[in-house]
Amino acid sequence: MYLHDEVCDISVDFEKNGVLKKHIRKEFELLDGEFTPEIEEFLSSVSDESVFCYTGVLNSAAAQGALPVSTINEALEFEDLSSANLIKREDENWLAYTSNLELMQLQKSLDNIGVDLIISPFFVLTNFFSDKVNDKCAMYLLNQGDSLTMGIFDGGSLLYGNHFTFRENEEEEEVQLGEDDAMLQEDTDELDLSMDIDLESLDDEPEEEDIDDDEELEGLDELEDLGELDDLQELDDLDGMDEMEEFSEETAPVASVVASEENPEAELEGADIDFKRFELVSKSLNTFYHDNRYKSDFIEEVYIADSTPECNDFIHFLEEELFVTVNRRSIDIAEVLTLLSKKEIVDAV
Amino acid sequence: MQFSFIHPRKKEILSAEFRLMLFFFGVTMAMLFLAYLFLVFKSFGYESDFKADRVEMSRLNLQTKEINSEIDFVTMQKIKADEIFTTNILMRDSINNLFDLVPDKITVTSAKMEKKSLVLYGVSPNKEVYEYLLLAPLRSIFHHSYTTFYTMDNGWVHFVSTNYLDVEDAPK
Repeated sequence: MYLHDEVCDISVDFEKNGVLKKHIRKEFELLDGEFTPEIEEFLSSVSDESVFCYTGVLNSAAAQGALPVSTINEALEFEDLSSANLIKREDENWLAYTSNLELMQLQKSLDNIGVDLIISPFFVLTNFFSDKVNDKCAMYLLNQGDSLTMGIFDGGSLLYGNHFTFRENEEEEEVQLGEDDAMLQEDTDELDLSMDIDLESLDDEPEEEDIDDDEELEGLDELEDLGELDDLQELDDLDGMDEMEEFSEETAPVASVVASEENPEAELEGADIDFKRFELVSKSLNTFYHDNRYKSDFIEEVYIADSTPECNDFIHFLEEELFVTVNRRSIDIAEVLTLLSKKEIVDAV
Repeated sequence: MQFSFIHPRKKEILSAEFRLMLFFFGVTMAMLFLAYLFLVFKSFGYESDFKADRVEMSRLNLQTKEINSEIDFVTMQKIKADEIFTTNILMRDSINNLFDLVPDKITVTSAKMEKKSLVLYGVSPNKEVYEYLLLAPLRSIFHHSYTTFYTMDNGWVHFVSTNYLDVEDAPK
């Protein structure tokens, strides 16, 4: 079950002796974030079919992440995990964590239907890109619209992980970020420096991209002037574009300027969110590059698992500002959650 | 845990209410079974006791029969003894009567007394004394009396008196 944007996306697999007997897919509207009687009736009808009915949801906690460590003692070097719940898979050298408080809040909010599994988005990401994470160093993003999960993997090993949650206003977002990642808060204080360093590392890029960070931020904040995006559209000769075509993923459109002509206001809001996403990814990437605690490597490719209809501006920002090759795959998170839940139940039972 | 921060809830085929009902049902069945076992055990005990009692009763019946036989035997013996006693008394009285019957002048040397007969051997001074003093009372008692006399050297007579009673009058 995947809860997002006032929508409850439910995928149900009925299996007997490991053989899929029936598959049901339903999408319900939430009422002020609460389950409607229709949803409860559907879940009740599903659970009536078998006693062994397990419900899995995606962990939507703001305070969660992943660390490239194997033990709690090593994790203390990065975070205070005294009030966190950890998952460490046996065959992995990294662990996922989340706030106990938010975990309990999530469980309590789903108490009326009962939840059996709360799955970390990092595992959704690694499972979805299981054919890629074992390759060379790349950044993987899970875009859920109101949150973004970021993981940098090299040969199957996590090098860096972070999770961002967006809120409707910026003030609330800052609070979420403060709770989310102390490292990220420190980076926010050093925003100007971070962006400078980022740009310095890209000295060999064309001069038109070698702009001052403040100028860039202002320019992107003032997206009403969409003429700037037209300039970005011209930057289609990036490195790695040929490689992008090798994958089956949908390659990113250059920009959404054409679409904006039909609905300019909505497009501006989307661009604003996309810029926020880009900004957070950029800051995190800067931390990854310059924090000695992380084993950094140069990122050339970005894989986005996108559950939203489109995030063209975000992809555009990544490609133009970070000079990376972006590959986008649409992800059906409810289906991936069902798959992971089945694996978890098989291991647990 | 592989992917989830929480463990899945424990799923059980039977609900808690159903398990509680099964528990009480099981307890009830166990109590009934124990009661059944108790009754079977007791029945077995009663049956064993009943068989033992039947054997004892048979033994006692047999013993009762034996005792009754003995009682009958003893009763018969008592009756017989009483009869003998009565007969003896009668015989004693008869003998006493007989000796009372014999006068002083006649001497009885031997007497054979049977149920229906009396044979007397004796000596009398003469026949007349015998006939008057002894024969008359004998005839009053017996239906038939026969006397044989043998004269002795000294003039006295030796007599043998045989007396009979008819069957109807013989003492039982």
